[in-house]
Amino acid sequence: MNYKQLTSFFKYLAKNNILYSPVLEKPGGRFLIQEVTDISEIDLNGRLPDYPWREQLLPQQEILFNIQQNKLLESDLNKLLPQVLLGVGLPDLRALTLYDLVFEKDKYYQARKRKTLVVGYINLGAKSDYTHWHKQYEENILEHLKFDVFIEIVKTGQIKVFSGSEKGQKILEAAGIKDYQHIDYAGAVLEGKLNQEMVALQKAMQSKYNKKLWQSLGKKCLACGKCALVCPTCFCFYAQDQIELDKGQGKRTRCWDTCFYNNFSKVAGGNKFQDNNAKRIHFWYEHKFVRIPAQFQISGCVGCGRCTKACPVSIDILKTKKTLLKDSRKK
Amino acid sequence: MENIYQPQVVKIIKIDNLALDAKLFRLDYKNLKFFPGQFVDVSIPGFGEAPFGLASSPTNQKYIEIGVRKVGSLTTKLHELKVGDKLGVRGPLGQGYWPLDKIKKRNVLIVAGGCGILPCRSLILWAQEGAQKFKDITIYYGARECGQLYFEKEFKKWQQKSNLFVSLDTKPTKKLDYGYQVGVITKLFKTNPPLKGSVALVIGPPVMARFVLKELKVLGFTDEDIYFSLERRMECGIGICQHCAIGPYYVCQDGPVFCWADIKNIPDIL
Repeated sequence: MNYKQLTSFFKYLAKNNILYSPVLEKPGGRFLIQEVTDISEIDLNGRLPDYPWREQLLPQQEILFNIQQNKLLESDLNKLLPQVLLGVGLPDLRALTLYDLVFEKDKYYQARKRKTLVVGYINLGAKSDYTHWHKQYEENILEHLKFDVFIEIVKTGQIKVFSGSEKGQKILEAAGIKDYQHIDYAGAVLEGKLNQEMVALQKAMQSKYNKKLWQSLGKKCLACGKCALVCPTCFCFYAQDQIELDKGQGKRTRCWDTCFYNNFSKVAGGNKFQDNNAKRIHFWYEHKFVRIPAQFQISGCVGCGRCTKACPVSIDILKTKKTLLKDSRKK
Repeated sequence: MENIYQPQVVKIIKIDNLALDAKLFRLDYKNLKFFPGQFVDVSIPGFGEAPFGLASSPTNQKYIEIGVRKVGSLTTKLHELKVGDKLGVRGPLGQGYWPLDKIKKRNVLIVAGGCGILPCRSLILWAQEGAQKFKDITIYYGARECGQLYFEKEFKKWQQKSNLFVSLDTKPTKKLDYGYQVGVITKLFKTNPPLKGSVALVIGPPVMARFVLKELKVLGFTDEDIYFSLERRMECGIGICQHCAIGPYYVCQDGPVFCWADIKNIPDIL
């Protein structure tokens, strides 16, 4: 495939769907995921957008139920419009693969996902934000990532296309693209091959609490929640009811939350289980390095580096990992 | 696809006062299969949702009961409801409770503080029915003051099949027709020590749980024979939202009852 064919494929996608893609706001500006109508805005230069692909599948505020005459009515999921997430880089594809596991039984996520076409890509000719993934890419990592269509821009500028689902195959065929290869999804975990770094991090966090590490991070951390906002595997939420009492009308929504916020762990009566920043940041890391691996056998950190870039006090996840890996080698 | 967040609408069929600030709601929810210690998420449209331990016997398939202490906006609203009013119920949630295989044919020690007695009542009633082959059941039940003791009227019945010891933080202001002691609940370990070979099920505020753990370890209870029912904030009830996470577990999904051996390495767990 060449660029011209790729462009016409993008045009085809934009015709029938809401198209989201990485876009450079302005030269030197933010690199954001935005709704695109002019496909020349689509930027596949290998950089990861500043924010993850979350809003499109797990909106910041999502109505679960409308309240009418004090009754809960499921929000209308049939009204969702078809959308394409175009230009999802490898770390972000990993996060979307994880969402499918976490939200397997969640009707709202599943309804959105059914209306979504995920188009992943790698640009081997550009300087990417995640070169550590490129080596994995050569080792058939695509089998373990969920996508509908995947575009490989080879160094010479040539383009290879893959389908990863029936939906992807159908859309490629419909767009008149015959020259593609199909890849069967083989599950998120490499068969019988747990990521050893993940195992070591999990062990380090579960077997011994490194008081020095967490207290020093707790002292630095401002609990601003920026890392949670940019982390593609942060998806926690709270539910909230709003009602006009006299009319009995309102809504039950779920909203993004972060474990850094003050009342995250507060229970009736006022007790808080995470009552200082050392506990909060430990809890955040536990989600990535302990809970997600325990549940799904994949790491909860996709290695995108966004949290390190976003942190106003320069907390570096790679440094934390290094300390933990050192801990795991003790004894 | 089923909507896991959709509650069932059920009618309140009876309301009893448990204490000045607590009520027992009997709900018209038939054939709910659960184990003692499991919980339900209860909601009122416009006022939110919160978890409540099931307080009725699991063999009772005619209705379920939950106890509600008035502490926040949802529970305040719940207290305003009357017989015939409706509310939403989602569940049962959590793991089939007490490790039945482990407590069968064993002596059981229940240590409950405050609201902690509510889910314990499910087990106490169940044991009374004799269907489960527990050996002796000993209950240490602690409350701040006599006005905060729930199920006082049932104590006599409970005592037919179990040894009940009541502990009050302050001297009672009325005459009680059952034995009690004044002081912290852990004093009961000295005055009425648990039977040999007991399994301990502990539920109450963290500060109580910490001191009870100390006493149990002094008496030689193994980590495998100690169980805690944990309280955490919950938003989803199905292990997604992260609010109730502890170490590798979710209290809503893997708990709320945990064997001490499984959670003792989690920092600040109690």
